[in-house]
Order: sequence, then structure tokens, then C-alpha cells
Amino acid sequence: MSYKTALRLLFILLSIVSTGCYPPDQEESSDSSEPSGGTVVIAMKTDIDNFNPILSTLSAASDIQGLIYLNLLRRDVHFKLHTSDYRPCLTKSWRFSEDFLELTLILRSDITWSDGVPVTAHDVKFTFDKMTDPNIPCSNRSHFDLTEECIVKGDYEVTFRFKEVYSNELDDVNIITPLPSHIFGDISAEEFINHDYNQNPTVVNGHYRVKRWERQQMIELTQNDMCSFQKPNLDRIVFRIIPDAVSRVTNLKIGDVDIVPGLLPEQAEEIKKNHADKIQVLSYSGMSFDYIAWLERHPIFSDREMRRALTMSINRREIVDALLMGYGKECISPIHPAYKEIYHKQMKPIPYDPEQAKKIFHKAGWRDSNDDGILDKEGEKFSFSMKTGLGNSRRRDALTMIQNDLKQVGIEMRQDMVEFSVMITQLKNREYDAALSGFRMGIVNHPKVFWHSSAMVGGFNRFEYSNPKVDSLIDLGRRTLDRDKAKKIWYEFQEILYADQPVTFMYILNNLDGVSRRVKGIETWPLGINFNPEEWWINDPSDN
Amino acid sequence: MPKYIIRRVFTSIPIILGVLTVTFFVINLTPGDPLAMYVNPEISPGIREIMAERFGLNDPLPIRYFKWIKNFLTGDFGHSYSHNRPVKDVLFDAVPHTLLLSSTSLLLSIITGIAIGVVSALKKYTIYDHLVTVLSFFIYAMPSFWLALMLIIIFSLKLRLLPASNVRSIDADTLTLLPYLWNRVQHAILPVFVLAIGNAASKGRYMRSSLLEVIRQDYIRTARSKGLPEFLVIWKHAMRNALIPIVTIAGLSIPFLLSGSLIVEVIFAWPGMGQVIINSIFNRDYPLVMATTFISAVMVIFGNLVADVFYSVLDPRIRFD
Repeated sequence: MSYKTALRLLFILLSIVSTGCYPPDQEESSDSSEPSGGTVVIAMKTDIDNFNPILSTLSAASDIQGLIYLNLLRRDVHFKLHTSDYRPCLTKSWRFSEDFLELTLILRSDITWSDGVPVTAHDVKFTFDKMTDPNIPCSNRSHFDLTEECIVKGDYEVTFRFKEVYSNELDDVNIITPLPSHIFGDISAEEFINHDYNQNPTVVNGHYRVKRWERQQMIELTQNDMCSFQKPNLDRIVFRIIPDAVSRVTNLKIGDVDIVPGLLPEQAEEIKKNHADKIQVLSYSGMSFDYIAWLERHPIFSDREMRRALTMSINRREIVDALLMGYGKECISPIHPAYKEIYHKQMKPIPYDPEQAKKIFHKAGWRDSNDDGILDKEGEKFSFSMKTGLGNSRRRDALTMIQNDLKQVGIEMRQDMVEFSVMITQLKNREYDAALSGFRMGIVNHPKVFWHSSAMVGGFNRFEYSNPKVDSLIDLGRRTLDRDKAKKIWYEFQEILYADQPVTFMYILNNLDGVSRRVKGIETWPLGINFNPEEWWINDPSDN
Repeated sequence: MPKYIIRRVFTSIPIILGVLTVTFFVINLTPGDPLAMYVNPEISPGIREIMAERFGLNDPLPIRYFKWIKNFLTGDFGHSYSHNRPVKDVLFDAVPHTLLLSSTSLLLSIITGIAIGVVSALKKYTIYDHLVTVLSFFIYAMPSFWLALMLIIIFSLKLRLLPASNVRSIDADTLTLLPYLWNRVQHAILPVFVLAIGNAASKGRYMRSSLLEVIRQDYIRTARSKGLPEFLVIWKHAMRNALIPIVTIAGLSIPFLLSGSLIVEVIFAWPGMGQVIINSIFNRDYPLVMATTFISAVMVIFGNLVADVFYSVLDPRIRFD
């Protein structure tokens, strides 16, 4: 048994012991009626820009919007692919037309805004119109590319008509977070963008409302007494802005902050070792993964066998174990395992096999003819540069490990670290050979912006991967409603990507959240801890 | 004197315009996309282009320059790309926090620096002097982020005496005035100390050598020989001249009043100018970079002017006519 395994076992043992410390009867009694009241403080890295879900671009803002606004439907913890994974929320029921070109939502009639005005289909229509207004920079606009129109059928009934049938119709409609149209009235795009409401949302319909926002310091939410749903347990949720990672954890340890999302692996280990009595670390598969983009027009990377051999040369397992300290797993396909129905379960990571890789390079004509340890072919060295963004220490360290792995098989890789804003431009202009990059998958599976050849311009296919078969599978998969057929299509899509290796999939990161043991009832999902804040409660005798 | 000040103010105008022009072209020609945050798979394509149009980034560079100068001269600093709100508002939020931190620590560092310097000059080559010398170098050489983290570990984590970050507690505004002020003071102690101590150590060194230089002068001997008490000799005659280098240094520290300190502000989650400046550069937030550059340029020129004026107060032989 290695030192590390022993340590892990010890943690497990410790956690069993520490959870065992709570008197069992108390646990049970609190299950039946969770105590209400109290405040939870969540540390946040940066401030938000505004509260308006149409206008804001930051993910931090969407966590807060989830607390102050109700969605049309509630997504389940488990992602699948199709529509049955939703629970009612503002929408009481929904139905598709027989040809699936129309979707009708019946809204609940008993839900009001915090000023007493009912939430109606007019609010849905107003929000839809603003989201699709070409003069309003709504970051979710492309979700309505296939929506023809939104028709109000009655105060509590609204129908969406689509240009063509596709599988994410309900997902896309649920992107709409209705805003109070009576506050805005009939206004222009410019007035909407500059409306005071965006900074100070006085009228909301969620479980919480904004009590105050002190820029760069904190956002305080308190219970919305007018919320028509069941009262949440917590009185307040406060977001505190603390830019520095060390400071966030220090605040967690001294109890000034209850939740720190996004711990670094070493911080998680340290907390587990020294502060397990007060703080628990939630570790679960997240939505972010890192990959190496190989620019296809580069002479070395244009052949898929070469790309496969490059993947084989890189020990992804070791990076997960050493760099991520096990808080992650090897990535195989661009579809997240959380999409249970379409994620290809039979595929295994391409094995780390430097010997096999060397054979492939040899077959392609790469030899070390001058004995300098680097392969060459027709006088050209096997040498390229790999870019990554400055400021991301994980990718910086991974780059060094990749460099060592490649050196073992006779490849010279030069590290090229540039500022993030510079990297974006350089990838767009194809000023690179290879790049270690990453991306966070959204709630809706959208392979088109990465793998479709049309995404080379304006999309994220910056490695210029083009496979007509993949293009047609993406288009077909998007249109296919039958679950079994869809599954087959997405399986084939993943198999082709696996064979083509347009990029080397590195690893999926775990979300690591530090949570004070006084906060109970947190349910996680791949998007983070924002699944059920209204059900959290506080177990702290000194608190009440 | 007023004539001199007016002349200095007028000559500084072309300097400031020059600084701004150079900065404008340098930051705009530096590679990097100010709208990089809109390049994200979760953000619909085309949004970056709408924002570029809104922010006027599609115009050719010279046109953008003239537009900017025109707006700037009418007092309009423009709209921050990264904060997505007027630059003026961003600065109004950040300046008070930085001013509080930097003025307190500057004052503290000057007072303690002078005190340390005077005492160690008067007790030259004693144990005390050696101790202060060694300590000063030790503190001066210490990186401020390390000192900040050590202080947080000792005073926040271990002793639980002081908060680890932010300008005040969440519920501080529900307190009455005195407990509220005490809460603010508690939050300011560590950052002010970290900022002040390094400066105090260096100012102490300057003060010591300057005073040692002065007390060797003939007029000090004269003062002593006419029977003045020692403290009068030092405070009335020696200090006036010995303070001149300190005034220069303090004058040069004035820009720091508004530029803040990035490291201390980030570690202590202090929402001041240091963070604003550095983030504006990394995000290529051109309007914000220009505004902060303008403030810095004005403060540098102002600091020099203040120092020059103070010379003549301390040493009547210095005249500006």
C-alpha cells in the first residue's frame, strides 16, 4: 500500500468517524423538519456586472439569478437528453404539437412578482422578444436560431413555433428567465440595456430578493416574502467578493465564509488533513475539461495517425494523479458523462503507450538521423510550440509534464505562454501550432460550435477539424427526437472523434467546494452547488 | 509663489497630454482582445461584434484617438468594457477605499520613519541603532505578500484577533457608530500595517543619514555653544534641514495615494484602485487604462509640485521666482 493510498484511507476513516460523531437521533429529527433561519456566506472571485439574465455574461451572475428568478421549468439533477427530465416550476404543464413544430406552455396562475403583479405569458413573450432583439447583446441568443416566433395564447398560455424539429426545443425555451414586463414597459433596446432595473432588480419572483449590492464587496440576498413557492430555509445568502484564493480559504477556516467554490486540489487536500472537523470538501465531476488543440493545417498534425500517436505519447493518467491529485478523470469524448443517455460508455481512454507512438512516428518517416534525441524527417526537426494562457497554474504545470512526455518519444515541444486575451486572438487568427486550452460545457449539449466544419469561422473549431460524416451526424443528432436513434447517432459521433483525435482530450476536472459543516442539505450537480439553495439549512446550535 | 505654481500647472498640461497619447497608442497596439470575455462557447456568436460596435472598437485607431481626446476634454472618461459601466463610476467606487488605506499608511510610515530615524541618529552606534538598522533591512527586504500572509495566519487564523479580509463585516452597517468605526479599524489594521512598515523602514534610513549629516554642521555647533537645550537644537535647527530629503520622498509617494497597492488589495480583498488598474490592463479595458493613467500622471506632477513648495517652507533660502 503506497503512502498516498494509506493517507486516503485515513481520510475516509476520519470522515466516517467524524460523521459518526453526530448523535444519530439529532440527524434524524432534523431530517423531518429542517430548522429555518440563518445566513450562509459564499465567497466569490469577482463581482458581477448586472443582475439581468439577458445582459449578464458572467457565470457568477447566473448563480445569483437562479436565486432571485424562477425558471419556466426546473431541470433535474441528472441530465439526460430529452424532455422528461424537467419538473414544473413557473410552468404547470407543457405539450408538443403532433409535428413537434410547436411547444405550448401552460403557466401557473397563482405566481406573482414581489410587487403583487401576476407572472404571465406576457412576461415570457417580453423576455423572448428582448433576447432575440438584434440590438441587444444577449449571450443566449443563438438558442433561438431555430425558433420562429413566440405567441401569447392567453394570460397563462404561451406557444413557441419552431422553424424545424430538433431535440433541444424545450431546453432552449427554458433558457428564458421571465422578467417583469410591467417594470420595463414598451421600451427601445437602448433603454432596456441602460435600465436601472438591471443594477437594482426591485421586483423579482424567486425565493430571494436583492437587499443590497456593494460593488466589489458583497451582494446580500434576503428571503422574498412574496415568493409563491415554499419558503426557503435560510434567511439570507450573502455573496462576498474575495479575489485571492488563499484569502478565500482563510476566511472559510476562520468561519467568516461558509462556502468557497472552486478550491485548488492542494487546498482541498490541506483542508481534509487539518480542518476536516469544521469543513467538508465536496468533490464531484464538473463540466470543465482541458484539451490540446492540434492545428490541422500544420504539416505534422494534418494526419490523424500522427494525432493519435501524439495522444499516446502523453501520460494523461499521471497528470490526473499528480497534478489534479486525483480530483478529475481522463477525458475521452466531448460529451460529458453527465449526459447519461448519449455518453459512450464502452470507450476507454487511448492508452499511454510511448513505444507504440514511436513506431507510428517511425512509419511516418520520422527518425533520429543525427542522434540528437529529436526525431527528424527530410532535414526538419519534429518540433513545434504549444500555447497556453498565463495565469492558469494548472495548465502551466500540465504543459511542462506534456513537454517531458513528448521529449521521451523524441519530440521537441516549446512552451509558449501568453496572456489570456492575447491567446484568444492568436487562436482565432491560427497563429499557433498546438494549444492547451479548456472549455466549460453548458447545460445544453452543443457539439456544433466545436466539431462542425462550419464552426471554423466564428465558432470554436479553431483547430480546423473537418469531417463531412461528423457534420452530418451533428445535424442529424440535433434533429432526432427518438431516444434510441439519437443514442446511436451520438455514439457514432464519439467513435469518429475518438478515431480522428482532432484534439487530445486531457481530463475532466472535479468541482472542489469547501463547505462549512454548519451548512446542511447541499445537493450538487455537475454545474456546481447551485442546485437547491432553497433547501439548505443550518445546523449550528450557537446560531439560533 | 502663486505665480510659480500657476506656471508649473500650465507646463504640466502638454506633459499629461503627451503621456496620454503615448499610452493610448501603446495599449491599443498591444496584442490582445478587449472583448475576449465574449469569446466563449456559452455566449452566442455575434455578441462580440455587437459589443465592439457599441464600444466603438470598429473605428480606425486615429479616429478612436480623436474621439477619445474629445470626450476626455469634455470630462467624459467613457465606458469601461470589463465593468460594463461608466469609467467615472468605477473610479468613484474604488478611490475612497484606496485613499483611506494609502493615506493612513503613508502618514503612519512618515511618522514612524522619522521617529525611528531620529532616535537611531541620536543614539548612533549604540545597541539600539544596530538593532533598528538590522530590523529595517529585514523588513524592507521582505516581500509584502509574504508579510501579509504571515500576519493573516498569526492574527486571523491562529489568534482570531483580526478579520482576514474585506473592508468591514457583513452586518457592520447594523451597528451603532462607534462599534461600526471599530469594525472598520479592525479590518484596516493589517493592510495598513503591511503597507506602512516597509515604507517606514526605508524612510527611517533616509532620516537617520540625513540627520547625521546635519548635526555635523557648523550652525548646530553654534546653537549648542550658545547654550540651547539639546532638544531645541535638534527640533528647531537640525530637523528643518534634515527633513528636506524626507519631503522629497513623501512628495514622490503622493501618486501612490490614488494608485493603491495591487498585492495588498488583492490579498485583503480591498476593492481599491490597485485592483482596478491591474485588471484594466489585463482585460485591455482601454477607457479604464486611460483614465487611471491620467490620474497617475496628474498625481506624479502634483506630488513633485507639493514637494517643491514644501522645500521653501522648510528652507527659506529656497525661493521660486
